[in-house]
Amino acid sequence: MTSRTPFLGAAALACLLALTACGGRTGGSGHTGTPSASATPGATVTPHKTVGDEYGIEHRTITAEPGEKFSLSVPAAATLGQHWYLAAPKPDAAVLRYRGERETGDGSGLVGGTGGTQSFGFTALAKGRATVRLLYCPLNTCTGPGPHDRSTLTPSPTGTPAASPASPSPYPTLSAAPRARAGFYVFTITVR
Amino acid sequence: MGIFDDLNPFAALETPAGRRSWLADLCTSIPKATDKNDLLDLIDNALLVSAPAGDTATLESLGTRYRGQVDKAGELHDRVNRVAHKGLPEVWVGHTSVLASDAVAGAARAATKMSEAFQGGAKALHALADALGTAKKQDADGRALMQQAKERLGPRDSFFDFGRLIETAQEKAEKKAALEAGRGLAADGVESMHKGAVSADDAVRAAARDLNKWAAEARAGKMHSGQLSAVDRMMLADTSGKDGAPDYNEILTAGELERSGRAMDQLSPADRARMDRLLAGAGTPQEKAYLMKALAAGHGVDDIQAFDGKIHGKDPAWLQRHLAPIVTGADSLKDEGTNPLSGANMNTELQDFDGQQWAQGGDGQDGTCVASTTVAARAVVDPVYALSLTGGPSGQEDDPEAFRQRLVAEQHRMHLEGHGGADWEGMNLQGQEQISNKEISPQTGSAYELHEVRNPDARRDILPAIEKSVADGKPVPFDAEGVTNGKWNGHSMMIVGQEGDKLEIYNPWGRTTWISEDDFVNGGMAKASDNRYHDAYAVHLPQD
Repeated sequence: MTSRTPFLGAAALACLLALTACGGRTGGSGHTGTPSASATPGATVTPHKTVGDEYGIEHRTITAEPGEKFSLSVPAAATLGQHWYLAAPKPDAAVLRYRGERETGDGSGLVGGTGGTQSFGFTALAKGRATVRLLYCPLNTCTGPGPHDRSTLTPSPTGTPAASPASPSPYPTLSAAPRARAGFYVFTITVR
Repeated sequence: MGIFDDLNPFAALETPAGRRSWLADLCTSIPKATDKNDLLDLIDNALLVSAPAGDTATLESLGTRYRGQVDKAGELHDRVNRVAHKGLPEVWVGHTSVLASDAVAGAARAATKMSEAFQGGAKALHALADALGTAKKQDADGRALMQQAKERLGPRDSFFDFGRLIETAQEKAEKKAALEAGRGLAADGVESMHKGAVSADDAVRAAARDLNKWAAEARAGKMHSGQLSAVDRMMLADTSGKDGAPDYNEILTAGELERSGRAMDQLSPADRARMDRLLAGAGTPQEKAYLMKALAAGHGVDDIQAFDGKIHGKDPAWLQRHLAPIVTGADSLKDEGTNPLSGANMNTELQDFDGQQWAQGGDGQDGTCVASTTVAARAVVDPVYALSLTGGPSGQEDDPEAFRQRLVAEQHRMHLEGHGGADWEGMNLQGQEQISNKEISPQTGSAYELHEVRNPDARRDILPAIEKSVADGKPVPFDAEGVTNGKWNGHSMMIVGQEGDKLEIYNPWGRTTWISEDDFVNGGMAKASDNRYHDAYAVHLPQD
């Protein structure tokens, strides 16, 4: 018998309105981030520049110059079974080149420390717009791309589970801080 | 390992796992020896290892005696079964009022279990005798080869031999040939001795595991209370939860049967009379078994009376849902392979109350794996505690959201008790030992002691003690570790079941799955979590 997708209490989403409050370590911040068009209405998304080239989950609309390298860095606590996958369709290869993934552990020395990140590296190639879809899987609840996985199918409308045959993916598109629910995070990268 | 073990170079030879590891190292070093005296030292080191101990004839004889009881138990089963099919009247028997027909059916099942236990015990003893015989022969053959090697090499070269600067070509060739021949014999010899040590170690551990399990399975005999009739004791041992495989979901474990029987005998006459009335008034065998489980967990009769007021008259499905955090399905042992990306087992069982998992942070968002494992462990052994979480103060609730809030609050309480990190993140091993002793020991009657097991030998050595604890119904928390790009990850889980060479693991992600002993020993913990955790490195073991 194979496990079913779990029901995780609805109150899990209680802190979604404050994007930074719940996801304490949501990774680095943007270098040239701009307000995300898909951010939850009412949520506080404050783009700011940093010296690094890592964008956290709160910066999903990104602008880069041709030749620029950057990465999308997301929280991936091993003790919470969190894992992220680069989902299909892959970003337009004429605009972005995928450089690969790197994961780091917690490093706190405590059993159950929730540090740890996954970074997906890209190089901006030429002017244009590309979309990067990352599938977030908490508690090892989804398996990522594979022969039995449905993550590569079209996601359901933002924030709601898929219902129609035209949107057969079991995972919705999410916009708030990653919590209990598996789903897609969509990053839009404009190269100019 | 203590300080004196560090100072004693031969401490490793005191355990079976240490001896096999010692010989494994020599299997590598002897074929590489290029000096006669070094080779003689290595041979002597191999001969320091004691031969496999045990008398195969005694084991064979004991196994044969066990096998002789199988037919008798089978005949008993047939006789009882004939009575069961005669259509018994609705009469009540025993001090706690058991329906006679249920008692006879229970007796038939007990006879079958007795037969299986004798058969399993006989099989384990015969297998041990066979393996030990083979191991002894491998060891003896190896020692004989080592002696031949020593004879071929001759006496050690002394200082005066080194002083002989002039050596003819023929002498050099003879010495080289002797070294090569001696090395070949010694390599074959140590390999044979190593095979013997491995066979003996594996066979002894497997026999200990199986015999402990069969001893725990002889459940009806565990309860020695003079306050209950044989029928009562047998029925309590026979009662399982409604769902899942009956053998994996018995309400009273072997250890609980023993503890509850002892507790019955220690009650005052007045309390004993109250307890008898509660048992006699129980609506189902399951209700009765849960009352005894509460007694085994250390509750007084006042608490148990209040508990009974909450569960009285509930059907077996309600009781299991509210009082059993972990239910093991009959097909849970089926090997469905692992996820190629994460390394986790495909066949896992979600453990939930009304759809809300027994998960850390409720929704898996707090780094409270240690506290969450401890909460689940306590709920497994204490039905009064489990009901306080699932059913709330009244014990009557069936609300997953309210359960989630109580579960998380309790995880947070234990996290603070163990001095866990800020923002519900992480705990050290000492904090975990502390809360295990504070929260689980009173219910199991065993103090929990931290054992660090940072290599396969240490994990192999501790397995029999883990399996004995689990067979007795005492959950064993442990911690797994892994390193991702140079940074360490640690996660707490718990062993809750054992079947053959398989261990059932609860992960506070709200699920259970089975792994093999080999996975536990040799870095296969990803199957119970994911590939960021390979090794179990710390075990919190109940002490007897």
